[in-house]
Amino acid sequence: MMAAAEKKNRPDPGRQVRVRCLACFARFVPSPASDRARCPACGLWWRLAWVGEDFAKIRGPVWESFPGMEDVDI
Amino acid sequence: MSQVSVTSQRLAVIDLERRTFRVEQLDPQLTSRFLGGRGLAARLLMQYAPRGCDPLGPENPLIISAGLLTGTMASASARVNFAARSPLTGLLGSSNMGGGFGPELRWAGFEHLVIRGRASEPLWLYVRDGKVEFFPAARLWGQGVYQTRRSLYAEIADPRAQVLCIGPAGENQVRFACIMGGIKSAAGRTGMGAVMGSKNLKAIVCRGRGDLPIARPEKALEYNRRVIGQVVSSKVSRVMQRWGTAFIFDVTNTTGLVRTRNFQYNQLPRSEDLECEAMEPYSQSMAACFGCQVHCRHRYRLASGPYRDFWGQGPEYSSLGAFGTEVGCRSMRTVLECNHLVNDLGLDTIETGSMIAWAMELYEKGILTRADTGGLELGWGNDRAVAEMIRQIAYRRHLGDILARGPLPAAEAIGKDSRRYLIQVKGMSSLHSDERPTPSLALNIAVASRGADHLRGRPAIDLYNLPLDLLEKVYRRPDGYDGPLVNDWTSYRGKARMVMWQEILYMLVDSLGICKFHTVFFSPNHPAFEEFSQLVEYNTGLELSARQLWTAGWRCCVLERIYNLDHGLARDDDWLPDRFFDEPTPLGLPVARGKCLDREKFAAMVSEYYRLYGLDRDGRPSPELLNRLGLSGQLAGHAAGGGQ
Repeated sequence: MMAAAEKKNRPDPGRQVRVRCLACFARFVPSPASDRARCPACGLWWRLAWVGEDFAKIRGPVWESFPGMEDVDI
Repeated sequence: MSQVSVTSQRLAVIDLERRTFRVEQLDPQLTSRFLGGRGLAARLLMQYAPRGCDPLGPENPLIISAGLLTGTMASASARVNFAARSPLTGLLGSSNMGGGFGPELRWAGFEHLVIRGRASEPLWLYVRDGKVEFFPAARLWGQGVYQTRRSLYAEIADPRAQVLCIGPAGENQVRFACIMGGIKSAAGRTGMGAVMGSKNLKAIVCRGRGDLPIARPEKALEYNRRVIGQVVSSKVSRVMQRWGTAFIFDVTNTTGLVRTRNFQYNQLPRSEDLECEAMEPYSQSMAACFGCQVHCRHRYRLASGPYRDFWGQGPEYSSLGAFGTEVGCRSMRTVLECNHLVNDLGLDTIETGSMIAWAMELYEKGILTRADTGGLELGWGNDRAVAEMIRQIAYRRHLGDILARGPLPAAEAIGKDSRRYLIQVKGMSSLHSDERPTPSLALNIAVASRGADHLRGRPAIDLYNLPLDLLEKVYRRPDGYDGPLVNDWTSYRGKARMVMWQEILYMLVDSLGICKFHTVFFSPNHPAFEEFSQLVEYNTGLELSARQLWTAGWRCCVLERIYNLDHGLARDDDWLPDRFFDEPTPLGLPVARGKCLDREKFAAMVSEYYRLYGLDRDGRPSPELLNRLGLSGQLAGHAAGGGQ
C-alpha cells in the first residue's frame, strides 16, 4: 500500500518543477537546471539548488537585490 | 542467552562505589502508562533521585533508557534517553541520542541502566549479555572522545560493540558537557556528560547477542515498509538525504529567523558558505543511525588541520548557528573544525556556541576585556577565537571557566549588565533560531520542560504556510480538538494547541525510541499517533490506540512538569528574556522584519497552553488532571527517600 504522500512526492522526471517563493509563497516554474530565478509574483530574485532533475529548492536570495540591504554592514 | 519479551522493562541498578549491580524487572503496567525511553526515564528519575539532590553529587542517578520500540523492526528506532537532575538548570535533565547504543543495550539484556554513586577512581563499564563489569579507566582519563573510542575498541576487539563516553568537558564537569555515543551522536543537552564525569565514569561499552522477539513480525515488516515509504518519499526527506538538517539554514536565514551576533540581528547576509550546499566539497557520503533510511548526516574529512586523520559527521543545523551566525563567522570550514572540537571534547554544540556568542557581545560592549579572555580578541567573526574559546571552556581556562558554569551562574560571576544579553530559558540557552517573528516557536522554547529547546515541542510546519484543511487534519487528531487553528505563522491564535500537540507527539516518539524526523516535525505527511499505534501493536503486541498513546504522552509531559515544579519551577520560568519583547528584528524578509513579541498576547498564549493541558494559572496540574492521568500523589516530595 502506498501512502498518499509517497504517491505525490515520488521522483518523477517528467513532472514540471515548481518552487515556492519564500517571500510571497507563490509557486513558480524555474528554467530547467537554472541557478537563478525571479518570482513572477513579487519580483524577488532567488538562487536555486537542484535536489534532482525533478526537484528544485531555493538556496537563498540574490543578496544584491534583497530588500533593505543597502545600509547593512555586518 | 534466552529470549526476552519485547515489552519487558529490565533494569540494571549499578552502584559505582561498591562496583556491584542488581537486575530488576519493572512493573509491566508501567509500560502502557509511560511506554519507555524519555517517559519512563522521568518516572524512574522521580523514584531514584532524592528531591533537591546535588546534580553533581553521588546521589544524583544517571538513568539511561531505551524506548519501547528501540531496536525493533520499526524504522529509525535507534533512540535512547538520558535523565538526571540537570547540573545546568537544576531542573529536569533529559537528553536523547540516536546512533546504535539504544538497540545494543536492549540486545545486551537491559532497557534501563540506573547508575548511582561515585567511583573512587575512574572506571568504564562493560555491559554485555545481562551483566555489568567494571574496569579501571585511569589511562583513558584526559583523552578526547575520538581517542577514547579508539582505545576502547582496541582493547575489546569487537567492532560491533557500542561505546558511550565523555570527553575532557565531562571530566571537568562543564555544566553543558554531553555524552557521546559515536563521533557525532550525542546526548547533548542539560549536561548529562557532567553528571557522568562527576561519577568518575569515563565510558560505557555495550554488546549484546540477545534477541527482541517481535509480536507479529510479518505485519510489522509490511507496515514498516509503508511507513518507510511515507517518510523517505516526502520532499523534506529527499532534501535531508542530500544535505542533512543543514538544509534548514537556507530557508531560515533567507527569511530572517536566525540569531546572528548573539541576538543583535536575525539574519547573516552574504553567508553563502554556510548554506547546506557548501558542504558538498567536504562530504564523502551520508550516514544514518540504526534502522533509518533517511541518512541525514554527512560523513566528511578535512584535508588539513588537527583533525585530518579523523572522520567527522554532520554538521547539524545547530552547528551552522553555533559556529556561524551566532558568532558572526561565515566559513563552513570553521563550522566543521568546531564541530570536530566540540564532539571530541564532549561539549553541547548549542550551549557552547550560545555562550561564546554571548561573551562576544559582552566583549563588544566592554563588559568583558582582553584581561578576562586570556588575551583573546573576542570579536565577531574571529574564527580562531571561537575555536580557542571552545578549548578554554572544555579545560576551564580563563573566561572559559566562567562560561563553563552555564548561562545564569556565568552572568552572576561576570555581573554588570551581562544577564540582559543572555538568550536562555530556565538556565539553558536556545538554538540559534530567532523566534521574535514566530509566536508559536517562541511559545515552544518558553515552556519546554528542559529549558529553551526546539526538540520538545516545535511546530516547525507552522512555517510552511500550509492550507488550513491540512493543518486541521494534523492538529485536530487524535482527541477531536475543536478550538482555533490558524495557518498564519505570525499569529498568536491557535498556536498553543500546536505546541501542546507537538510536545505530546515528541514525548511519544522519545518514549518509543523513534527519531523525530520520522514523525510530524518537518512534514505534515509523516507518521503520527495512528501510525505509531500500529507500529506498537505489530512490534510489541500491545494494543494501544492513538488516543491512548496521546494520553500516555500527555501523562509523561505532565510528569516532567511535576519534576520541575518540585524543583522550584514557577510561571515566571515559562517566559522569554526581555529582548524578545523589546528589540525588533532589524533584517529579513518583510514578514519577519521589524518584529518582536507582544507581552500581553504572549502571556495569553501561555495561559491558553496551561488551560489546554489542564494546568492552573500558575502552571501547576489540577487535582482533576492528576487524577485523570493517574498521577495523584506525584506532586511535591516525589522521592524523599532516594529510591529503593
